[in-house]
Amino acid sequence: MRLHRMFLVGLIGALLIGATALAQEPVTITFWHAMSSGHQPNLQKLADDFMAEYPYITVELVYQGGYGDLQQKINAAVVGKNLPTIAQVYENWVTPIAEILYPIGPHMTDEEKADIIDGLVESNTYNDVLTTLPFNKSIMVFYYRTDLVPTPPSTWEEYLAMARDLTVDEDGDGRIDRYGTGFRPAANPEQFLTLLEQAGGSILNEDWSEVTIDNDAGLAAMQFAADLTPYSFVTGEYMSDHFPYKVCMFIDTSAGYYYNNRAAQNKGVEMGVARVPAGPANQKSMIQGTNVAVFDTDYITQAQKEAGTLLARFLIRAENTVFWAIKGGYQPVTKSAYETDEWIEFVAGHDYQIAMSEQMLDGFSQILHPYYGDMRSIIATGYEEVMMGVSTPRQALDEIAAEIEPLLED
Amino acid sequence: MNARRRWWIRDEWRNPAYWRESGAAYLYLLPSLVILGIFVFYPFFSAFRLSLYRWDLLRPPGAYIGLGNYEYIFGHRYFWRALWHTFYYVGINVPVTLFLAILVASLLNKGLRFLSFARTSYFLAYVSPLVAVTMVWRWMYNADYGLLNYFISVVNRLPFVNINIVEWLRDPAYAIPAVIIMSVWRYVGYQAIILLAGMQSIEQQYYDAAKVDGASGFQVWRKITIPLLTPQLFFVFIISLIGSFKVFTEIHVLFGGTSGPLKSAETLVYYILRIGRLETQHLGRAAAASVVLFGIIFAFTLFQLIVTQRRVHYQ
Amino acid sequence: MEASRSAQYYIARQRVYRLILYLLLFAGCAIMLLPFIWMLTTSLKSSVAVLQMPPQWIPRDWAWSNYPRAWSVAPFGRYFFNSFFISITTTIGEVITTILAAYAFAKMRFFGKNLLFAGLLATLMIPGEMLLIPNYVTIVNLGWLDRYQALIIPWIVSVFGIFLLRQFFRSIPDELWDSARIDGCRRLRFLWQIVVPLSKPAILTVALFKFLGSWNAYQWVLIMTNTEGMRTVPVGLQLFSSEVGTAYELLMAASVLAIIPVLLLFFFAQKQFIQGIARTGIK
Repeated sequence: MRLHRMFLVGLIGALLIGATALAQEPVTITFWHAMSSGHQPNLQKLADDFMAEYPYITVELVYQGGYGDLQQKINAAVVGKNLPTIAQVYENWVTPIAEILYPIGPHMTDEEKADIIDGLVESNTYNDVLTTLPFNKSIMVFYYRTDLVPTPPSTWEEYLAMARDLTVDEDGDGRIDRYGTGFRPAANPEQFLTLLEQAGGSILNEDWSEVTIDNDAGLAAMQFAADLTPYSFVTGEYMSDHFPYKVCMFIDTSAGYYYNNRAAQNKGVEMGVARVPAGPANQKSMIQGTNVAVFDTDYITQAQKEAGTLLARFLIRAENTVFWAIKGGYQPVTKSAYETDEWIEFVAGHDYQIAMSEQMLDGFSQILHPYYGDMRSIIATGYEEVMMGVSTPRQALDEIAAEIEPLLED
Repeated sequence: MNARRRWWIRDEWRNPAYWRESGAAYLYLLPSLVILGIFVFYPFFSAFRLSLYRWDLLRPPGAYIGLGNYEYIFGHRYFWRALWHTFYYVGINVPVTLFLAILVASLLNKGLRFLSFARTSYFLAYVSPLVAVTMVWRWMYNADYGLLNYFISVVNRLPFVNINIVEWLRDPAYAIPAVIIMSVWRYVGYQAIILLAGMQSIEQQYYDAAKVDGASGFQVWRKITIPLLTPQLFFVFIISLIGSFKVFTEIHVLFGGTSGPLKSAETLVYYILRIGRLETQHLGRAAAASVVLFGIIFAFTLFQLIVTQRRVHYQ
Repeated sequence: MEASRSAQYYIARQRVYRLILYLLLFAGCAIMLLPFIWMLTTSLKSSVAVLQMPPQWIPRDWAWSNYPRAWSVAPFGRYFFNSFFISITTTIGEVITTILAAYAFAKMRFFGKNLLFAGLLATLMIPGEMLLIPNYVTIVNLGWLDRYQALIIPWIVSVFGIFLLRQFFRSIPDELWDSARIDGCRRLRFLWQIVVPLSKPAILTVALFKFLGSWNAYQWVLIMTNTEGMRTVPVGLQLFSSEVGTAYELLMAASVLAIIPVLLLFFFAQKQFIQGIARTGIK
């Protein structure tokens, strides 16, 4: 008799659960992204796998052009009340509209949250709540040609010395034919921000009440950039356009691996990838890339928001972030991802990933200050002036600090 | 008896036929005005209005700050630099392109062979996707392998000639010239086609009369073709002026998403887009700068309209 | 004797003069064609060869497969259809509205003419970017988002075209209208049956540039649409660029395909140009 009753209870329980699952209203969510043709099949596969696991959810992927176009579209959609459920976003795009983001963190377990790479937590946290989740991230690493650079520099001093030795004017015509290294100050101020972090500096202090970029650490970083200037090819173009014949080694994003390597191959040169040279305080480098954010407006239903959070959490699951990284040239965003068999196998077959993985686990991200965009612009200007030789580190930093000051008052 | 006539009321206003014609004219203009009204005039005034607010994406247009945005841009050294760069660019680009376009159109107007091939080539320069154009020009400007520096090195082999190799695209002093050269190249064809259409509309009888009078080819060109081309010249000049003031895309793609080394090729529209979209989203300030830009272009155009009124010959 | 020698000099001078002209023409053409040639040759290169510096002008390995590969990246068939549909409808619409408006400005006297014309020109003087968000809101409010109306209707007017045609129309002598009016011709008939045929080169120019503008429109289409089925060729072309680099060989292949309709239109328009206008029978 007892067995009968247990069986009955179990049956009713199963029916109830089954009924709830069947009773799940079908919901459709839209995902706006800027992934080009190479990445789209991979994104579609992730979406398909997600839909297989959650049959009541339909995910519509909408391509919205490049990142600039996607940003413009999102801004227009905020005003036009037309936002999608979830979108790929850069931090600066959503910091001004943090109010209408639907936090994903509260829907996650503590393990899931702790699994996110440390350097990515702060830049996804608004008002102490984990709101967005990292999506396609890349890390700044060090590229070099192995024939002229048998061992990559491991410290700033070594980097400077090697850059100096490699800069030559072969035909004596007064023009340098080959530079030791190269930088893109106007287009990529993250290179300087990496140096700043490595010197132990920061743009602002802990509570964002003071500008600290012009302190000793900041000066050390800017001075290092100035020291490298005579041996650096400074341009706004991609380094792959000038590597390896014009530039021997440089700091660049891991996502550029394919193009940098192809440039080296075209000239019959081998390329190596290493961690960035260590500065006085640490060997960190900056993480770049987008997150995913779920929107919270009155025209997006609760069911859609929850489905959106499910998708976001799905994307950062170890096997998925590994898949996305391997196929797209990105870096996995959770710590456990780096310990999966797939990833370990991938690294074994692509040894440039050793340095990239190590660097990523030790990476840092931008601060979420509402005026970060302005700060970045101001810093890029000063940094470029130093690397073009029209400003000294002290002057540049003083000006940068003076321009950032007023931004803190608001 | 006439001294007390109200001078501000035109004679034609007293004629009822004038008002009938006005009614007909507005009927002709109706579709254009309606669409322009909704999709151009209305957002146009919206942008003006925006310049008085501090843009807030969540609660547009944001807080009213009167002339605060104008104060900001007039105190921003990059605004003034952008203004200077713009005038530099316009001042050279417009006359050079127009001059070359007249020459090209004249050349294409002659009965030379391979004319349609030539016409197509010039048109292709304008129609080729900007990506292809910039790739070729980036190659031409490459300091080591590029065509331009190659020519310089060839010329340097002549005695007494020693021109420095130019680090195009990396030297702030040559940024705007680089944009001008590429721009002139691209738009000469575009302008030449319009001028050509104008040249083709000049009535044969003028040429016949000139031939009877024994005028040489050059005289015909100077005294008949050009003067009768003035309506189109005027048009091309104004369009070129307005377009040059708004230059952006060429700079953006030539310098890899930046406005040149040390922002040396940053024109006013680039500045507007940089602060309003690319680097930050201060739409109020961008709108203020747009209003200033508008004012400048409007003043220039008005000046041109008045000055050339008499010199434009309609047949 | 004297006469024939000077005649010989004259002929020789003319020949040299012509030769110089031909040289100039060819030099000009060569330099104008460079990007187009680069586009063609790059579309047939393998991905490794694309970014060689100095550039390869003749591909070593003829990658014909770039074309089908590029085509398969996106529903280009649909994109081409949309591009054609939108470009043709906007061009026809624009030609009609522009002829009417330009005639009014050129030949009719009406209240507020100069001020209105100045106002129209003024609209060209503001960067289009600033108008994008207000227009987006308007389109959303009209319910036209992601529909053909948004892509066609705002574009059947062109101040540029009105200005261009006005200049042409003003060159047509007023006597023509006077004598037609005496013969009892109504204004609209005069416009369509006399003025328009006389202005063929100008109208064709306007149509050509409008078609080109619509064909190449990217930003507006991107912002006003969300579904694949509504998008056009330029949006498809953007797919070949990522944030770290571009697949040039595929992009150029697609661009070659995209440029063909424009070239065909140009050839057609050119023929009409060449036929010229026989302006006999004015009196």
